[in-house]
Amino acid sequence: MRINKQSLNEKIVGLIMIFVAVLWLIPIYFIVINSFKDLRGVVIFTEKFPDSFNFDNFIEVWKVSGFPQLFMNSMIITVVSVLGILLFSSMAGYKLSRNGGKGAHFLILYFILVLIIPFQAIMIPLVKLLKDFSLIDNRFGMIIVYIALQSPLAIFLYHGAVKSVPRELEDSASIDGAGPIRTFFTIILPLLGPITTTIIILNALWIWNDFLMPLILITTSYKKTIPIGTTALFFGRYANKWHLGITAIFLATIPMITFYLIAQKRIIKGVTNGSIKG
Amino acid sequence: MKIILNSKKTKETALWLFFVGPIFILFTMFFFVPIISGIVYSFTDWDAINSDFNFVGLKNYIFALSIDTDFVASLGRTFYLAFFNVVLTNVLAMLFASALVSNFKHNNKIRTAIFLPNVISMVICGFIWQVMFTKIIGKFGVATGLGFLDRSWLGDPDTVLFSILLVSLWYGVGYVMTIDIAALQSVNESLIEAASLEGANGWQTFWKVKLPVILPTVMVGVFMNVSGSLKMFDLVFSLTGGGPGRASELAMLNVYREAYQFNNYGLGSAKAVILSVIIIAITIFQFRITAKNEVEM
Repeated sequence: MRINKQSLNEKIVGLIMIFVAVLWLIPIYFIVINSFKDLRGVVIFTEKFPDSFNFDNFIEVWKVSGFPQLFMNSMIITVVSVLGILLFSSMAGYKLSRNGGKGAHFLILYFILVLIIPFQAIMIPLVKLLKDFSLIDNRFGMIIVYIALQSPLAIFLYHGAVKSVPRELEDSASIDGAGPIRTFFTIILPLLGPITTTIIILNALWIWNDFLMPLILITTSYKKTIPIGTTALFFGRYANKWHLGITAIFLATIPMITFYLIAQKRIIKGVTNGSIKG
Repeated sequence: MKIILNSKKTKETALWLFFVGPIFILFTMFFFVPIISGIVYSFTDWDAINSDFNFVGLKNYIFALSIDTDFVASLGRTFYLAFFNVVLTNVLAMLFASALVSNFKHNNKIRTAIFLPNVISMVICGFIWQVMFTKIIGKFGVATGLGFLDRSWLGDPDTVLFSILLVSLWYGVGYVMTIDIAALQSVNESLIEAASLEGANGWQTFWKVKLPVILPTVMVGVFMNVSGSLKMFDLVFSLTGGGPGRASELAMLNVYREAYQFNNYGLGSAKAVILSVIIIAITIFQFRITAKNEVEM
């Protein structure tokens, strides 16, 4: 009897949560259905399900806005930055973890500054600095900045993960004649898989979706990433052209939603690992 | 002997340079140096037009805090919004998380839906909700007889902050909820059973048994939320642009405009320093509280 009552309670709570989930998806639903309408349909019958699925908006936005270029920029900037973060932070995290001591302790505190001091503190000088290096309005320049600013947290996570790798591994590798650098890349790094996945997921989501950095660093339109490119379209060419603006929004969300649906379990795990250990 | 020692030391130094050197240099160049130069610029009249600048002492700080009422107002607005955002996000997230750790068979799908906004860029979320506020919610109100829904949500100074809060909740609850679910699942079953044998109800079990165990993890969610709320920018940029007038201009948007719209880099730097000092103070305060909590536990 008690069990029945409990499962009934669970069902009622479950139904409420289904309602919440539907509520959460409503905005996405309206963006999707309005992508298939013409301007009149969007403005007058925003809430209606479209009579027919018309792909004109997609063709227009895809061709005219240079969407493939935006996509490629986002892809290249995200992938190269994440690779750079992985390389530099795993190396530093390893060394700092294995050779502790005063120097290592000081360096970790130095890197942790990035968790305390917000980005706005460096926003204005950063633009000037990159100008001086001729790295402003430059995708490579932005990648460097992402690596510099996102690595510290990853160093922190690697620093913790390396502790659980037994030291005997290095000792036996050293007896076999492998140098420290080779030992790190062939023996230690492959063992850090789980935390590496977490770092990839957190940084990929963050860099792909970042808006402020490209907003202040990139001005040329063919160098823009998806969030900033879509924003430029929405306020620029497609201002008042709601049907095209909405289609651009929909297109902008597709890559990440696809990634989410494919890698969902890993993303959820990455979020929880990143916050429990970070 | 001495030579061997020396070469060993050299080798160790080379290894440090190899492993830690690259990121140390990048971090110093693109994080530490800009912090220092930002502080220096905040005492100058540097702008986009003149390449050279003069030191003006505390003038920028005095101007920002006592003459520029818009900046002070934007700070107040930021705290106000951050307060409600942090409280409501965390309460809702914990409620949802508690509901979703049951055995209900659709829990995973529900969680997928509520987390979804997090994978979308926040600036895009702002556009999505611009469509909702201007094209959908009003019509829904007319159709259902809920006339109060049919109003200018983003154009009215009285409702615009509420609208931003709504979108911020829609965006942020899923992330904190995910952390809370993991925390709740980590609570030892036998603790809960023991509490229930003692006759504790669900409410008591939550406050007396579960919450103390999960508090450190929950606090991580709260902290991320606090600093995220104080830095809120993307969403306001695309949803309202700070308007109507300056009714929804948050501190970050004010700093951004000072620097990149009005080209006052010196004054912008001073404002950025002020905002940063506030965020740093709150962060350190939070670190202290958790450190204290952990000691007590």
